[in-house]
Amino acid sequence: MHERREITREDIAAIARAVHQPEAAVYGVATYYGDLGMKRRGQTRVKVCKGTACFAACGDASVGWMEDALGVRLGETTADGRVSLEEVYCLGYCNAGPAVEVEGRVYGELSPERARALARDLGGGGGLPEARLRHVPVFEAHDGPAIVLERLVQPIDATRLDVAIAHHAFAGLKKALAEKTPDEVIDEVERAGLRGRGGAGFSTATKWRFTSANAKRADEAFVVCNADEGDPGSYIDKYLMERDPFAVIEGVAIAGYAVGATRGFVYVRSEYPDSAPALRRAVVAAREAGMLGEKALGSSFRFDVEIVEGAGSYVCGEETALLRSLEGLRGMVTARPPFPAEKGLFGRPTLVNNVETLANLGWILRHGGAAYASRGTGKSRGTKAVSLNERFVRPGVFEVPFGVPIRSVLMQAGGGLKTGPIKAVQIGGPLGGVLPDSLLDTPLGFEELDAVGGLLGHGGIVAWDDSVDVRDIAVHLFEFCDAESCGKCFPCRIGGRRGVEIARRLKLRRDAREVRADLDLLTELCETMKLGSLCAHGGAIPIPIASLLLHFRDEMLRGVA
Amino acid sequence: MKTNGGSERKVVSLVIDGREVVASERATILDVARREKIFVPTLCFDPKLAPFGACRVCMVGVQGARGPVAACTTPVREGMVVDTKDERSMRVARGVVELVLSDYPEAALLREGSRNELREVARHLGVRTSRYEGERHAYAKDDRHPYIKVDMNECIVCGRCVRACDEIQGTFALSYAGRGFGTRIVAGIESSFADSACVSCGACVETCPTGALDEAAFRAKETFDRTVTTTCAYCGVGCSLEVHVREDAVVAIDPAEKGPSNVGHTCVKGRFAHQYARAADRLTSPMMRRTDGSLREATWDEALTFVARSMQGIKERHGPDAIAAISSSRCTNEENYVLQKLFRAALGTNNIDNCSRVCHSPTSLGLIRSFGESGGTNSFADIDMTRCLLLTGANPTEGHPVVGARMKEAALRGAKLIVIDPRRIELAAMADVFLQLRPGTNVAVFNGLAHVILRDGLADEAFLRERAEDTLAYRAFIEKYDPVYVERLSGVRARDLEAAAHLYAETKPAMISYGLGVTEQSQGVSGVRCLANLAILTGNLGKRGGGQNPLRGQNNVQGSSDMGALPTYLTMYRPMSDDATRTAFESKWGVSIRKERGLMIPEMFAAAVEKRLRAMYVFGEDIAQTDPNVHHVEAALSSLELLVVHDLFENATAKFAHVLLPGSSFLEKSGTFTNAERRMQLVNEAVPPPGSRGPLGPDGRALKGARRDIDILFELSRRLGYTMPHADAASVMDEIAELTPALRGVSHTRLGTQGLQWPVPTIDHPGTPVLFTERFETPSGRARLAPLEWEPPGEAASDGFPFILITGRQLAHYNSGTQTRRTGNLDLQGEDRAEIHPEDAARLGVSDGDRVAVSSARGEVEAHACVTVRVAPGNVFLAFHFPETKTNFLTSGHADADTRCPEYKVTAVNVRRLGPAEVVHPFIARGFRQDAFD
Repeated sequence: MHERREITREDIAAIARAVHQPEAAVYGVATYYGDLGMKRRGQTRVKVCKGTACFAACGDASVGWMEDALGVRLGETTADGRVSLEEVYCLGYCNAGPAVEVEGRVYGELSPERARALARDLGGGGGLPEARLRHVPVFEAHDGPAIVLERLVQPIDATRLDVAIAHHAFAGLKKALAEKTPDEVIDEVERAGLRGRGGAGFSTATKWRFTSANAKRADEAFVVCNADEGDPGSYIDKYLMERDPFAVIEGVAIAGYAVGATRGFVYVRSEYPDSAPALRRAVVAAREAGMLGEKALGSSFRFDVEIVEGAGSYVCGEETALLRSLEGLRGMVTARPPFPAEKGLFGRPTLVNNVETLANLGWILRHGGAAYASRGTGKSRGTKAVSLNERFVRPGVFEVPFGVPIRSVLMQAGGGLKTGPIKAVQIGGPLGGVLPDSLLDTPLGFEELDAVGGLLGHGGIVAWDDSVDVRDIAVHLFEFCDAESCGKCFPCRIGGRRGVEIARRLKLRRDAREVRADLDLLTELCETMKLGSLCAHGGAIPIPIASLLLHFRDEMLRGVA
Repeated sequence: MKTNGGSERKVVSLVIDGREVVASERATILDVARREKIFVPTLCFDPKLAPFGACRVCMVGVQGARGPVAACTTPVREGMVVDTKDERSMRVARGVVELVLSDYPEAALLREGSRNELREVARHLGVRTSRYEGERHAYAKDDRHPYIKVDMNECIVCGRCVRACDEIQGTFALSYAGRGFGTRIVAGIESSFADSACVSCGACVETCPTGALDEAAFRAKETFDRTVTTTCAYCGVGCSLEVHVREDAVVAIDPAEKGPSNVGHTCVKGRFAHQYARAADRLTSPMMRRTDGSLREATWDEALTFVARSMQGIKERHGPDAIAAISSSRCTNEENYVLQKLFRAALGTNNIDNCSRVCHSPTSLGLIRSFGESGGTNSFADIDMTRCLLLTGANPTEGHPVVGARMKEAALRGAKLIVIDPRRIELAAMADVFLQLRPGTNVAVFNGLAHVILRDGLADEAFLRERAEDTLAYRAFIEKYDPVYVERLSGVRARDLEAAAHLYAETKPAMISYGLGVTEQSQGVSGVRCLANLAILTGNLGKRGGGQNPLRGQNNVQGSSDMGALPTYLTMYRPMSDDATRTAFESKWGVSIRKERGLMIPEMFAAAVEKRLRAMYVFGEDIAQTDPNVHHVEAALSSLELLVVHDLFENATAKFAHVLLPGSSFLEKSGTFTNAERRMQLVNEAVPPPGSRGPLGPDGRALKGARRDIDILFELSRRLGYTMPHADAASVMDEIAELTPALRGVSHTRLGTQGLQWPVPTIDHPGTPVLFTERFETPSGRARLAPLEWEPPGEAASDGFPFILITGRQLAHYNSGTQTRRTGNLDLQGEDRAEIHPEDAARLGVSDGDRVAVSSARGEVEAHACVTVRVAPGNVFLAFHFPETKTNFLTSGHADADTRCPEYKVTAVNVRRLGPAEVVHPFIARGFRQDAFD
């Protein structure tokens, strides 16, 4: 199947027999995930990144460059079956866009010339250095010591277990197992005021208590690390996993101990080809060293972690969809309640936490929750890692305490844009509001951003310079919404496509009445999707669209009589 | 399927549209709104399915919430204030519907049909058109299935069909495919429904809110005049059905939402296979045989005069016992009662038997001997409550599809499943333990299970002490059935047997469900009793989720015997020799009743060959196709002076008949059926019998034309000089109730839509879902453990006949196929195929689809081979639905010693290849292939 670069009906039937699943269900899975599908792919699969950072870097021109260079249209395979060109949201090289992936190797700073070089020698990468070697982002902590980036900001190789341990890895777990009951661990996290870093900002301790209570009544319970950092434009979790994997694994184990789970899973997106291997190597090393397994760290705590790779779906970052995907099903969202804490993976109580949330735990256990909570502002305690896109002078991952003004992150940490003043900034991924310059003094915080129509989200920050046409941002966001909708709820499934169609029409020269009618319809569509959608995918896309309509209305009407 | 019961739930109070109400804390806002008769529009919601939350048109306002919430998935909370008319919520619902309409054919919206929920919702919300313009889907239509017409252009991707298939039917034939705007519903690997695993239960069609899935152009497109609720006349599940009628014709059939036995579900037979009632070859006139052997039409007067005179003549010449009747498990309780009354009162003979003789007579006798009562101990609802199901000698996903689906859902919910069967049936694939025993070794395996239960201390000793008898003798007896010995007899591995015994005994409550694989054996009664032993040993009796429950093959197997259409009993298994019972009947009927028993069906054939029997009245059964050793049956029928066949069709038995009387289908008459859970349910006339509106005779009835069966029997009785006082079926039931203490509380009025499970001793008794909660009906009040030795079946494989033939049913067809072969089911499953294991097939050079001959000591039949691991090596399986196959030319005369129930399930046969498959194959829809679950 893999050699043929094609899934056939016969393959589906054979898989269904082998795994004792209905054919329709297997087919449903095969046609859901971006990596799969029934279309024949080329011997070499080239995936051009359509993430927001790459869009900010070149306005999707990279797609055309690759099409021209390879002689194949997006979504197609060359007649000789050699190459296929696909789109992907997002490779996580937002610091080095535009990016393109060739069979697991990613190349950054794409240009027409580089595209041609690549096309001439796909196997050898056209002589280009791989982005992971060439385009290392900046890692820095500002306004205080590093917590979550503790090891990343140091010039060490934290992927080596001995090095990581020398720099305090697993000390937090050890302390928890040796000195604290599971409930005391939860108390510590509560004192830290830690809130989920995946975007929703839900109280971590509250979620843990809920899960723990259900786990006590169940035969089995799980911890799932949500490592499906799908937000185009953010790459925080990617580097935590690839460069400090033990922080993640330690966090999973601490959470498992606290809620009474015996198994942990890390669900890693396949769009990060280097992340799952890095985590797998780390799990093997940790297991061999006795950090995991029958008696973790010599205690009576039995716990192991399994790394599972996704297959290309943004919505699988939503926790219920993620769990369905982990079960081998279509990554479709289910209504809550029941919450995963009640009925999660395989119907068992399941704690789902984001990578960054978990990576904070070692430090919190070592230093105590109070030390963590001493930083931050309002209800947003501690620090937050944020990532800046390629337009910045110093693109990278920065850890800052909550409460710092956004502008200081952009200007002091990022050094401002290379290409001129900032026109618009989107924080929190494709579901976050687009902020104009006038709102950039807003403090970084969950409630603070919410108040100005923004979203802290996961902390991915993408800034545009003056060259961007805001109508293209609307098209870009709706295309993303449409491409990644799980297809379950009606507003998102149909509204995503209608949004693309309306947004694309905006740039066609027409009379003002038609355009205003379209803007009105777009406004209604945004309300329908925002209030009607089942999950944040369809429910939050209207946030940036609404902010464009609010802050950039004149530009939306540009060229109209 | 939603289950009832469960623990006490907390109640919360809330306000909805200004009304203060209380509700269970598990209720959703939508549940409460519906209960309060507040219309909240929905598209993806079906009360039979788990809430899904996809369509987002049921949005309502909740005070304090951040925005509108979906009523279908939001649980109520204490103090909640709900506004279903909240303006913002209505705006969202309108917005969603406008989006839906942007990809829905306008013509479909304008079409006036019986139901289109999208149209109703759009009207309710005041949405007429969509302002959105853009891409629309264009799918090809799928018209290959005989019943289910698919037009995905009208699909709104609500997923109700997928969920109905998963949650109600358990077949998983459908799925979502693709994602985003391209998300669509597919059958199988995006194939035609006919090529998918679909078993055509129709649950998807029924739930479809638009015209995407349509029953042969009915639902969204047509209308009907009236709906009649009645009871299905196929298997013993007893689905409550709603028959939609227009101008004396059945337009479509749906399961009744609140049907007590089917809970809103039915199968490919009950829902779709009803066109036989208007088949062109339906008998619509009495027929009499000319001297040249051909048949001619006759009037009712002619035919019945002839029958009555002939019977009286034979009675005068040879005595009343020269006449016999075979009554029918297909017919109503009232008809069975009237026929036995006719024979006992008008003719004076006990020669009345019914076709349950050849299926579940061992159940009657076995359960009476073990428990003192001839009925399944529990209800179908107990399948939802049991934690362990032991299924043996039955293939319910084909024979009893609604119960099969319910069992599947139970297993999917986590109930343990033990399957004991020589065939790897569909449910075997889901089983925790599957014991594939050799045919004819039930008793050995059941005894082996009992041995392990006692050996390993798993028995319920308190139950044995208080509620069972003969335990000491039994303990001594069971010693020898150790697993190693049982393995030698049955081929079941010792450790699998032990695993099954532990699972059954250690998971409480556990229920036994069984079928004809247990009864149609030379040790039929022993098989039933050895199963009863298991239930007794583990104390799984008299409680919900437990018991021993026969899956009755036909709609009224239970009732035909309950009604005394038996040579040994009056109603409810009371022997004629019982003076009090007999006298009661005698004084009511005004005649004297003979004490000695009459002939059982197999004895009738022998008596006919020996000329002791001269006349037979065969009512609703095709004995020349379905009884074993058909050559012998044919010889018997040819010896008769008078054979009356009272049926819907000119069936195989009719070839020997002197008179054919055109009867009525279940759609054309009223009465009651009693299903496998002892539930008596009403049958209500939906359409008149065909031809009954033809030219009328002096009595005001059609001269020819089919008649209601009960009217035929009344009239025949009158002409025999015994006029029954009944006006209709209801008054017959009143007499039955009067003469039968266990049914005293039954009347048509009381049965209503929910029926009653017997015993119903008084007019205010609610019926009995579980038997023996207090005591057993044996003289001592205790259940009897039965030490019964295994004995080899009547036939064993030999050099000349090295295979063992098992016979049974297939999904699309029903028994002799008289009905189903006259419907679109023929297009789903066009023949009986001989199942043979791949190893045997390879040895014989047989490929799938090849023509093979299957022969026994009695004859040879031909069929296409189905090479499948569903049968074990050395076994062959054949159904008996098609007269072409003549399966019962092969089966033997061996039978259970006490009940004469034939051994259909064990016949020594040989198989040889005749040649390759013909070019033209009868089509078999994928889900109906016998190897569909390999």
